[in-house]
Amino acid sequence: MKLQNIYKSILLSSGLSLCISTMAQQPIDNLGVRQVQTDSVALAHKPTKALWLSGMSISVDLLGIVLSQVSSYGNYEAALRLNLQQKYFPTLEAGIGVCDRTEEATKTQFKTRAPYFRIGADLNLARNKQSGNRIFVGMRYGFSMFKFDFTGDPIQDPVWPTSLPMHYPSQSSTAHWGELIFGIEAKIWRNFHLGWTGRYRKRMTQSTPTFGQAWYIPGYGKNSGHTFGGTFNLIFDL
Amino acid sequence: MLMAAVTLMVTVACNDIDCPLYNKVQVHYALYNSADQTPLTLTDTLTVKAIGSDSILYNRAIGLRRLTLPMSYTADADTLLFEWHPRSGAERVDTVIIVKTNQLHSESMDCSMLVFHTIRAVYLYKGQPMGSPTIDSIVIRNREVTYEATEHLQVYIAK
Repeated sequence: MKLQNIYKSILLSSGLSLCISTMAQQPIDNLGVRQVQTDSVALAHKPTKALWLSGMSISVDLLGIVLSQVSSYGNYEAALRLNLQQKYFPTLEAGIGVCDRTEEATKTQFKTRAPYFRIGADLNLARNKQSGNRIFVGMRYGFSMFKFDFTGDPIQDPVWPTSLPMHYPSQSSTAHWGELIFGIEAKIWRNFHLGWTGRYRKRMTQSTPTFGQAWYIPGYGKNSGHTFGGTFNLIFDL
Repeated sequence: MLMAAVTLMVTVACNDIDCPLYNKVQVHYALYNSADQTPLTLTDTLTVKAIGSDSILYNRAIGLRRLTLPMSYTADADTLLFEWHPRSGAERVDTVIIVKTNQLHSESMDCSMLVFHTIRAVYLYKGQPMGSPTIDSIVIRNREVTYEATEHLQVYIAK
């Protein structure tokens, strides 16, 4: 049984053909044991070391898609992730944030559809890093440069008989933010994984039009100093 | 799992509204005695009207040390009439013109829209007949008119 494992390791690490050709060329020592067997045993006892670049994956955020359909805002997001030694996962996330919200009480409408980007990395905390299941923490830097429309009914002056038009199309804004991430991911079938992340977002800077800040920032969510968000990802290992 | 996540996200999104509690945008006038620069309490009756509006902004005010008056949302200048009704002597009217810019302000679309102003200049035309009380001078203390209850204009009154 032990010998079978050894052979399995040899086959995995160096390949069957290479092994056979090597054996054919190896001399026989005084005890009549082929030299290659001794080397192979030594190889098999070495711990398996993951490659520096163990793979890469792409993913889509299903939660953002669902939210964009059932609520006033959401996003369409995809991510590209590198797998470094099953431990570090540098990630680039890009998407389009959408928001179309009408506030009944104030009779105002906010509308945007703009891209955003996040870059960062995750750290796999799972004990068995080869299992394909992951539990991880991570950080992101997010950025969005976007335009929005802010419109509504004219504001009636309560004292003077005039009204102020509420029509501000194509207002420019930018926002930068950071994210702390906790996530879980499980292998579901072949190269497919499902996982979710919970995210604490902290806005760092934003530029706003003179009348005030955007109600929603693509990729960040509802605009406030800090907020919580999340993703539910379908991941495919390439 | 996905439904639970959606519910959580929507719930979090709906609970975070930061509208200011005090959201009246008004100009705060502080009254001072022009003779000794000390705060003054009105002993004569004052009515404030605005040109272009049917409203009376302050009707027969007395015993006040501060006045809070609105600004128009759209005009570049507001003309206010300060009508003095002294206990004795003739009534007179001082005219105050406040030149300003107006700026829509949105704290969030969940909150009421506000109009902030920046005071550019204040002009005073003293009414006839000359006498007392009357506005002697006006000093701009704070040009930015928001919902902050700070002293914007110091009105010096000659008794």
